[in-house]
Order: sequence, then structure tokens, then C-alpha cells
Amino acid sequence: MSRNYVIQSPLSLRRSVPMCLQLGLTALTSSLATSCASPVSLDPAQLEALKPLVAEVDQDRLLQTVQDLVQAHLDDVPMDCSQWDYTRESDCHLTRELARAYVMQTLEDLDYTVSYQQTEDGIFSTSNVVAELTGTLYPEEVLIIGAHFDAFYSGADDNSTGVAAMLELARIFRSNAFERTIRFVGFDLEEFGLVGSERYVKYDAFDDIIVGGIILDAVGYSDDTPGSQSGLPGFPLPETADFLGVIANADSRAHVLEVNALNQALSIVTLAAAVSPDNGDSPLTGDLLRSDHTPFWLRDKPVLFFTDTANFRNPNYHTETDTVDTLDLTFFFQVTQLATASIAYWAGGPLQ
Amino acid sequence: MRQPFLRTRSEARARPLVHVSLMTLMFGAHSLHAAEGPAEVAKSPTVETYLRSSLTLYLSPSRTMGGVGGGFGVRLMPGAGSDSDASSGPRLFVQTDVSGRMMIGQSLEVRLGLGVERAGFCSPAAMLFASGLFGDRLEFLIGENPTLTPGPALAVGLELHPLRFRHREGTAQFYGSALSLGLGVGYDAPALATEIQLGILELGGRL
Repeated sequence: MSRNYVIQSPLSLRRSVPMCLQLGLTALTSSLATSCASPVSLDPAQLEALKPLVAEVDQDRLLQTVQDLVQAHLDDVPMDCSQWDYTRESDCHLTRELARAYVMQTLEDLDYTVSYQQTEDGIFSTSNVVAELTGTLYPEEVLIIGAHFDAFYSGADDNSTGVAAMLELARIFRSNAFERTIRFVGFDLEEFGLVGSERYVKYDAFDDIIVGGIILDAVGYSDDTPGSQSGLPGFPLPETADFLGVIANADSRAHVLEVNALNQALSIVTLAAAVSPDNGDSPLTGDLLRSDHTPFWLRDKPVLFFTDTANFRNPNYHTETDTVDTLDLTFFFQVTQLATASIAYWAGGPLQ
Repeated sequence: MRQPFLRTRSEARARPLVHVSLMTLMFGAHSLHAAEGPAEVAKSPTVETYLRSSLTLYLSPSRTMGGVGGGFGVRLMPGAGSDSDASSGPRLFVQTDVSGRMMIGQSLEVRLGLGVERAGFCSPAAMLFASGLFGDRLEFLIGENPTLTPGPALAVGLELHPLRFRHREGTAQFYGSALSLGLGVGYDAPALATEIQLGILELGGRL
């Protein structure tokens, strides 16, 4: 099966064209690209194969994993904030060591070979946790499923939910085979400026052929009260905070259409997607760059960002009230199901 | 897809807006004419060029386009070639301009306008415009059965230039306009879109 995953970025035009013509050329090529977008048609056979995989997502196990991660954060010793000029109270409540150990242990228990990507930088040294399931047909083509394991306070929604979803996918996929490689990455120090993911993409994944992926960050909070969702100027979000936000850029635009088609075909979760132009770094779209997908986007790696929109709906964001009892477990379960279906679909599997 | 009654209501709202725009333009022409007295006839057409900086935002449930930027344009004023500040009446004009925009990626805006301008030093104007935005956009998949809207964002609307001033120097003429405001309407099925045009500064003239 041959698939073209990469949409040509307008960035490539800028190298040889005078500045005065760049706007026009970029605008016209972008218009042509979006005009030619064709409806997504899913392979019915593969869609059928995805259903039992999606049914393997275990809500009780997800809850248990979140509880374990929350306990790990509560038992951990926060980073010593006296070593930097902190401006927020939450900066003195960031933990990561025990959560990282939990991620590593869980992946090892699932019989993955786990590796670290370590960078020495004093107190901001990072250690990302990496494990992968090698593809059978196109092993050089990689799907990323990532979540940051550092958290403020107990970090139930942000980001024990994302980590738990990633580990659930690792569990489900372990007993299946896929055409492409699926790589699980636990990112360190997201909360201090995407430090771990930036180093991961810059030093480890720069030359990898990443054909897709999902970054999960805060995926367990919803509120069906009308008016519970905050928005931004120029973003026509629903007023009720009961949807999953799926964020893409130009490179991952095709993927968001496929996620939407999969979600409709499998009737999983209420979804609201935004596609940022170009690589996503326009002034109006800066709020779409607030998680570990950004280093991928800035290097033309087409990953998606799954989120409940965090502080735009969750009053417990980065506070000690971000606890398990505030989560919507059904919503969290559905998000994990959609992530499972999407990654499996792109990975070309499960193979029979 | 949205319920049919919503589409009907949207279309129903669109018609009065266009109607009001036309009425405003005609009323503006009538008022300007009344203020200046009878117009002279048999004037030769003139062409002037201009530079403009402005903000355009196109907002619909499926996409947001536009941004700040600048561009240039050409204006044809039939029968305005020999008028004088003291005696001429309101002047019709047609114009077209092209602007590059940044803030939501990069886009290109092309506009066509038909308007009327008061003669004299103080020369406020009103213009009906049709615009097309090409290029990058922030796109959304929201609601039941959402789809991305392809192609350029098209809109029609009315723009007012209350602070427009002209200066004549022999046969040459220069003008400046600040803080114009335009409001337009577009259609991204199945919903209406709003376009806001805020002119920051426009400078032009003919030699």
C-alpha cells in the first residue's frame, strides 16, 4: 500500500522567490491545495478490522493508570524552584521522576524494549522515554504517540490522562502487528517550554520519516454545561465544553480529515477540529502551539494534537484541584478509543 | 448539515443587508450632491492610483481568513477630470485593488469597488465592494457532519470613508483616507460569513 502522507509546505516556495511575490504565490498555491481537497474514503475492510481493536480500550484500566500516575506525582519531590526565577506558584510543584519510572516500568511490563533520550542541562536535564513496535512492511515509516509525564501538583487531567491513554494504546497494540512502526514517547519537561519534545525532535527524530502521530495532552475533562467553553477571537468553538479538540497544521491537514472520518464512521466522540495554516506559527494561531506537537510542526513532521483545551474549559488547570474526581471518564475513554483507531489506521493495521 | 430552516433564515437576513447597502449608497450620493449643488457635466475620466494599509477579517463557522497588510489599487473616476473644488458635485468611481495579508498565514485579497465620493477638500466616500481572499486560512471542523470549505472567501459589502481629504495642486491631485470601515457578508455553506474591513491609511492621487 502506498500513501502520500506529506502535503507540500508553502515554506518551500520561499527559498527562491522574491519577497514581493511570496505572498501572492503562497496564497494561490494554498488556495489550489485547499480547493483540491477530496473527501476522505475509508477502506471498509480496514474499518471493520479497527472495531475489535477499539473495543479493547478498557475504561477501568485507564482509570487505574491515571490513579497510579497521580499517586506517583503526589509521592514525588517537586523540582527545586529556588534554582530558577519562577513567576508562578505552580512552578514549585512540578514533579516528573516517579511518573517517568512508572511509564518505563509499564512499557517494560508490556514487553517493550524501552530506551531513554537523555540530555544533560543542569536542573533542566531531560530524559524522554521511548518504546516502539516495529512495522512489518514499512518499518522506516513511523507513527508517533506521545504524552508528557511531568505535571504540576497531582496532574490528573494535565497530563496523567494523556500518559494513561498512551500506555493503553501500547497495551492494545502490543498483541497486534502493523505495517508501519508505532513509537511511544513519554516527554519530559513539557510544562517548562516543551523542553523534552524539542530535544527529542531536534536530536533523535530529526531524520526519521514520521508519517503521522498524535500528541495527547489533557484529554479527560469535559463539561456539558452551556457556556462552559471559553474561546479565542477568530475561533468559532462550541459554547459547551463537551468536545475533543483536534489540532492540525497544513502538514497534518489530511490526517485531521481522516480522524474526522474515522470518528464519524465509528461514532466515538464529539469532535471540534482546527487546522492552522502553514506550520502553525502565525500570530493569531499561537495558542495552538502550546504542547509537544509544536517541535514536530516546526520541522514539518505531520502530527496532530488531541486536547480537551485545558484552561479554556478546566478551572482546575495547573492547580492542586486537578484531581481524578474532576475527570469525565466516559469522555476520556472515548478520546482513547479515537486515538487507538487513528493510529492503527495510519499504521496499516491491525494485520490479520 | 444544519436544519433547512436555518438556511432559509440566513438567506432572509442576507437580502435586507444588500438592500440596505444599496439604499445607503444612493442616499449618500443624494446627500453629497445636495451639499454641493448641481454637478458639472462633460468631464473627462481620470485614473488615479493608491496605496493602502488595512485589516480584513473573514469569519465563518468553517474558516477564518485575512489579517493585516497592504497593497495598491487603481481607481477610475468617470467625468472628474476638470472639476473644481468649489463647483463639482459627487463623483462616482470604480476601483480595484490587491493587498497581501498576514496574521493567519499569508493571503491575497482582491477587491472591486463601486462608490461615490464628495467633491472638494473634504471628500468622504461610500463604496460597495466585492472581495475575494485567496490563500492560508484557519479552518474548522465543527458540528454535525462538518466539512472544510475550499476555495477563496468571497464577500460583498459596504465600506465608508468618513475621513478622506483631497488636495489639488495644478493638474495634480492627492488624497488621503484614514480609518475607513467596511462590513461585508459571505456564504460558506450552510452558514453566512461576516467580513470586516478596517482601513488604516490610504494614500493616492494622480499627476
